[in-house]
Amino acid sequence: MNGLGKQLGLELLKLYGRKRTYIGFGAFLFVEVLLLSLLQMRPAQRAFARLLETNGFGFEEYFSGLTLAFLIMTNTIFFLSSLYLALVAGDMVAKEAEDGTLRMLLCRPVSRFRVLMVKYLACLVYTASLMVFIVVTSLLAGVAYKGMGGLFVYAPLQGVFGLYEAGPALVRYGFAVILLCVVTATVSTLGFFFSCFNMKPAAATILTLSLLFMDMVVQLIPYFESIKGWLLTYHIGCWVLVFQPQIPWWRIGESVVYLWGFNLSFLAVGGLYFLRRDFKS
Amino acid sequence: MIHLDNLSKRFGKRLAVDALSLEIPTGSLYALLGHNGAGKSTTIGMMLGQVLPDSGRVVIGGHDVRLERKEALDQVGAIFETPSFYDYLSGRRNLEIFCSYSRAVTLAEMEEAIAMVGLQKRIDDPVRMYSHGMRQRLALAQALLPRPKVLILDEPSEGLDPEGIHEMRELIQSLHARFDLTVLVCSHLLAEVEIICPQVAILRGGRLLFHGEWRGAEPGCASLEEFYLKTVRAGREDE
Repeated sequence: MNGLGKQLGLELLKLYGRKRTYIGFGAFLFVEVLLLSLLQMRPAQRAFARLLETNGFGFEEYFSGLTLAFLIMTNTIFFLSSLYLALVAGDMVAKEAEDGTLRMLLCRPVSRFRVLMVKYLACLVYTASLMVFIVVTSLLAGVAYKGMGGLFVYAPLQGVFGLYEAGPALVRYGFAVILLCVVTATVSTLGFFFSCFNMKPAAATILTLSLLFMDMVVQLIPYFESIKGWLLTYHIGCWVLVFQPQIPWWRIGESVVYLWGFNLSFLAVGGLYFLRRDFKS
Repeated sequence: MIHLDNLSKRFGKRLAVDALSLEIPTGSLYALLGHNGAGKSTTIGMMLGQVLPDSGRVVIGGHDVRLERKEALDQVGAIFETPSFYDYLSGRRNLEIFCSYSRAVTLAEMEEAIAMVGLQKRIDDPVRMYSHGMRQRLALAQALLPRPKVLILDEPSEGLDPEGIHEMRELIQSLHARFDLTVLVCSHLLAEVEIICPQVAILRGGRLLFHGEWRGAEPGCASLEEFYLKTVRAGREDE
């Protein structure tokens, strides 16, 4: 039997060999350029200046590349990355089952569990690669546009407010990218979970997005404040907390454990169904 | 070589395979025949561990497909009615992907399989540029890697032109002769089966109507088509 490394390498080759895998990367680049262009408009800059100056900070110092990168990330990551992670994860099993290549794989002397594990690992690699891409390109685009400067952070939903010099700010970005890889895996896992069932790839993607957006809507309604702690999107948003002056590691740890508890449960249920499923033409 | 023991499978209310028992001898050229919905594909699915039987078992080379999946399927190569590939990748990459889930295949083994099916010149082209016949040959190459003892071919000549059908037939016969393979063919092309397979199993409504050497089994049947139709009609009258 070939090793897990070789199987994963070839699974990644399949994944990154498809054009649709790159839609997410392309879309983020486009949105970054679009947001930076919009932020050049005077009304946008005036609103930003008002926010900074009412808090006693200089616009020129903090309307910087690092701040713009944060703005881009907080406003795009949830909605766009959910879309593209769900698209790719929803394809992982369902598309191959639909195309018939999964039948070809499953007549090989390999356990279904192994096939599923390799696919899930590839899904996690994709998730991490998209997150690293988003953070790095947001930073590069922001810095190219306005230079490094200081970082001004304001995220009311998570209650985060802070100001940082360039060095400490980059350390926070480092924490953010690691945490993003860990927490957005839940979006991919959800897509992968639905993909294990007998359904079209598009259905797996739509179900994933529906669930996440409903979860987000509930989070945004103030009357449901008391149940926020049960919502996936509340915990997925914990990556922003690394930008708080005192990083609440305990609260972040809680969210990570909660999300991975969900991930493992989704995987167990989807995996059990996959192991018992009939594959016919 | 392949032993089906009291195999049954139900999809909802429909009984697809009904207590099927069959022995396919080592080194034989055997055909599984039947009308659409007779249970052929389900039977093949159960042989390959893709469809889980409700009862009964499949044993290949002494290994139960359900309990000793790896050992049983390690001896089998299979192609399906419409072989599916990663069309955006080359034929060679496709072979590498499918073979990565078997025991390691050497470069020489891969080149030999590619040569056997005559795809040397086009193996590095993307599969989307292949004709139907080339896809069938690529499917056969992946079934031959790593060297199996059993070949299960579901409609291997489906959609091929007369020349392609002839080539596929010669390929199957030469592989059988060269490697002493046990070959199980599932096909609607009775004229082809007649040339390739001396032994057949005929299914109807999931039940086994006949198995064994078809020539001489029924007096007055000069062709497999006549024998098949006579057997199926008799089976219908018994119901």
